[in-house]
Amino acid sequence: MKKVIYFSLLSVVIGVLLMGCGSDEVQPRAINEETDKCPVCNMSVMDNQFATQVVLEDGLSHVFDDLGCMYVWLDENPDEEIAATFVRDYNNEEWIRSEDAFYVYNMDVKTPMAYNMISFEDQASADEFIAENEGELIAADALADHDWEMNHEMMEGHGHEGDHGHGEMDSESHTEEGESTH
Amino acid sequence: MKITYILFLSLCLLLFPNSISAERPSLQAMINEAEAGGTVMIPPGYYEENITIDKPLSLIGERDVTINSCENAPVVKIKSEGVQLSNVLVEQCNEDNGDLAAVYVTGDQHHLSNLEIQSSQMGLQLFEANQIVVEESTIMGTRKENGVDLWKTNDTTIKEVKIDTILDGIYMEQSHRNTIVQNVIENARYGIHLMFTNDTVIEQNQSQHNFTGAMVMEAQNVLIKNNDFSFNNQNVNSQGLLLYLTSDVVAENNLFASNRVGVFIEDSSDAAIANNIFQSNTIGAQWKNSSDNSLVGNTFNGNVNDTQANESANNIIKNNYWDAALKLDIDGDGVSELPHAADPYFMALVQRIPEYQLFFQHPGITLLKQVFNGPEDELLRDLEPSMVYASSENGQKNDKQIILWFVDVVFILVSFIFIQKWRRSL
Repeated sequence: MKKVIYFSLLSVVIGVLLMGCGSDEVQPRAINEETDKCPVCNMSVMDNQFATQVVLEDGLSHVFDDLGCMYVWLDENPDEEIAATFVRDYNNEEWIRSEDAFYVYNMDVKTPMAYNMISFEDQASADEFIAENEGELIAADALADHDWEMNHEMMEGHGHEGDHGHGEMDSESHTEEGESTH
Repeated sequence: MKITYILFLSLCLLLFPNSISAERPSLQAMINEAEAGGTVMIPPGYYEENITIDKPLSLIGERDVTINSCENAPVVKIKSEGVQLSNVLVEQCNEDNGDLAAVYVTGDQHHLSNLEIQSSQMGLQLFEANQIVVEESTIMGTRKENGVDLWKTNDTTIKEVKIDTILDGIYMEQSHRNTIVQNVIENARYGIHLMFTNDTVIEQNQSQHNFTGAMVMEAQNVLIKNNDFSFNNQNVNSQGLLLYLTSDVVAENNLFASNRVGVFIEDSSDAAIANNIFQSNTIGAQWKNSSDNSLVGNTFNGNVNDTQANESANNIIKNNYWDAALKLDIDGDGVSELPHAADPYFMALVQRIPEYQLFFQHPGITLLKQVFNGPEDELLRDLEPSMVYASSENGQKNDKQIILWFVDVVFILVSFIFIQKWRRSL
């Protein structure tokens, strides 16, 4: 009789443990700059605020060097079973679920693939960035409708770009954070 | 008494050099005094300052001139137009500001030569500059930032510059009609990196021991000729040349040797890859989602895998020499009658789970490949493979062959002597 009780207790304990495993939040993985490559543009993924990540149901994850690359990938792979998508806070580089983030589109911010979209963990820091640098606040659910295009000004002809972009920036100090990430 | 003398002398010695440097005007003062269009010869010395040249001026180091600064500003800043800077060692030792360049250049028609740049951050930055010439210089970094960084800089020539231990050797963004010739780039992330950059000429460069020899991304009308992209194999994502979203790229007479992947072509069209040598790469040429390109007259020799392709139809592939192909020339025209095909099966398999590369050439994979053969139209096929092997003009290889011959001859001689001795002892 005792054995039966022990076994039933044990199975309950194991069951609870297994349930605990199942309800675990999907976690983003760390980025390895040496080996991680963006599946869209082939560039090395730097461990910085522009990196994004898609975690699939089967546990695989893809990391991207630019939010725009992730949306290109999502667009090209509609049949993938996605567990979660993550972006990073522009200031503290913490991973956040992409649906909880607030986005700012600013042509002056140099992102690795020039999609010029950055992410923030709360609206206050996004507003703060806009107050300092201008830009357009974009809600998470509006991102899919965003026209993901790289800002390369190639349409305007070779070598004679307009004066758009970098208006805010002191061209000598050239202190944008995105600069070092290309 | 003696002690007083010695003290006096040593005091003099201590003071003497100091008094010289105190009298020596600062470099910036010399620049400020010079008239526009004039020439300043810099006397030998170690100058600890940041300088700005904002008028047309030739600034030439006589010999042994070093300009050093750890301040949060470029060591040398060149503005205006027609500035010449030559024969100077520039040291940047700021550790905090990643956007900082040792030499910062904006404006037009400057000429930089015989510079030696040692930077803890970026080496040389050309920012909205035009018609600049940079030649016969060296740039040494710490792998944190780019060696030469071009932003909206056009009609510029970078020639005979040796670049080592930097992030990207030459990084160009939104910069057009530039010429990159005879540079040597080593130990970089990407040797040459083009983004949104058109009409570039890349010729006779050596880009070796980098993650990637040249990344050509979002570029149109690029000529890549007579370069040596070799030994780019240190990283799991290494390759000799990457074409991504390009059009009208011509790559001819280049050597792609001992890379992980020789050339990777993705989302690109109208590229002409002709008369190159692909030797001893893990994969010679890899194609993904690229159409209307041509691969003609190349030599594939000693690669683990000659080509792999997926979703890449309508490419013109002919007259290449494939050492792995079965060749049969009935009519003696130098063209094999048997087509050579590359199957994308293995590549499709490892693309999703890279760890499957462990099963390379595994008998099971060969069997699976036969069972699930790739669709016919996705196969990369050379219908007219060449019978003729274009030999590599790589000097290093010839040297190696000579050594091998020598070793062979020595071995034969030694064994001959041994056999003779053994026969006599019987």
